[in-house]
Amino acid sequence: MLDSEDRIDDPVVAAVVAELKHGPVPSLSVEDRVIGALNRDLKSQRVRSRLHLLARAAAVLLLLSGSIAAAWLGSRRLAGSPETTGSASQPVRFTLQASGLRRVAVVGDFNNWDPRATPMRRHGGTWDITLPLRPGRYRYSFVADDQKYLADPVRPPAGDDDFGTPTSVITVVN
Amino acid sequence: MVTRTILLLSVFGFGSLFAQDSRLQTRLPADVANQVQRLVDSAAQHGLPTEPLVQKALEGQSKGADGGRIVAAVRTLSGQLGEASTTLGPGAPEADVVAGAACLKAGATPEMITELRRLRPEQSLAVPLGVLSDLVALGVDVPKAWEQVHSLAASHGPDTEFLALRDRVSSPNSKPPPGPVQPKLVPSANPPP
Repeated sequence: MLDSEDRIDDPVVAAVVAELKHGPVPSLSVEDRVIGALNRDLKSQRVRSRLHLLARAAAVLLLLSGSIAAAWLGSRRLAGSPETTGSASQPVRFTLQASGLRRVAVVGDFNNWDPRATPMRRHGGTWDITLPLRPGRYRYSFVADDQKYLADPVRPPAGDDDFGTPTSVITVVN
Repeated sequence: MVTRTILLLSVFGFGSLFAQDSRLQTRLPADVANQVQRLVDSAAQHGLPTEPLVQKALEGQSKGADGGRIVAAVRTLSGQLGEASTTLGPGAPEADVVAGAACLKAGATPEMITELRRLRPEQSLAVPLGVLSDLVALGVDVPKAWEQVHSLAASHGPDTEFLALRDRVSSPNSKPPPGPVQPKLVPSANPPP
């Protein structure tokens, strides 16, 4: 082990030893590069993290908009008015004179053809119900005692009955 | 990862727009509901009204029709809606497309619809088209019904005049809705369960 440069006679060897004693000092430019790289990495992490947040927010918004749209469509479907023109509802009276029946309901495009949805009221031998309907064209039938389908005798028949039972048409205008 | 998440959520979000109609699922057997739903989704993708298709399926269920008949009726209506939509052109109101489909089914020609569109460029055709199909359903032959509807349209008659025309043919001596008449009871093809 060499303790001092004085003990080295060869100037070249002495210079090498002196250099080794200083040790490998990284140049400033290398440090800059390392710190720069680290900074860039940090920045890209921040950018990525922000992108994550943005992506999540966008996804949530997308999901919400999809759900809202679906709910809106659902509410339109529940309204069950395929041919309406979007104006205000008007009261429309449906009547049927028929005796000897226990129950009469009206079914049609306005109530999803559900026999339980709109039972008619009996007044002597006349059954009636008044429904608010938006302007449009509706196909409908009366259902007597849950099994007999009747056309409305005072309104036009539907020309497109695909199921072999009487169907009527009503047109509600503004 | 982020891309996949966005993609999945997008599909889910937009997918909910074409979500299965709960009315079909609850009222129809699963296989029938699925077939009808496919027709409904296809119609939606082509910009056609879908509610009449759902109502047609529900009508069939209400009247006790079997699944095959329901699907056939919905498919036929979907085709008619497509033909009416093509005839009326892009951007036609839903009510016009639906009335046009009924008209075509009644025997009217696409040329008749085009002519009505020409005569009433800014007005809805729903009532004239509806009245045309009503007249045919009431027993008036197509050329005669068309002649009357065309004449009114050419004179720029309002919707109420078309309806009055229909009512004169429907009940020459009375006006609906009062005039209760004892109906003829007709059992449905298949009583509902």
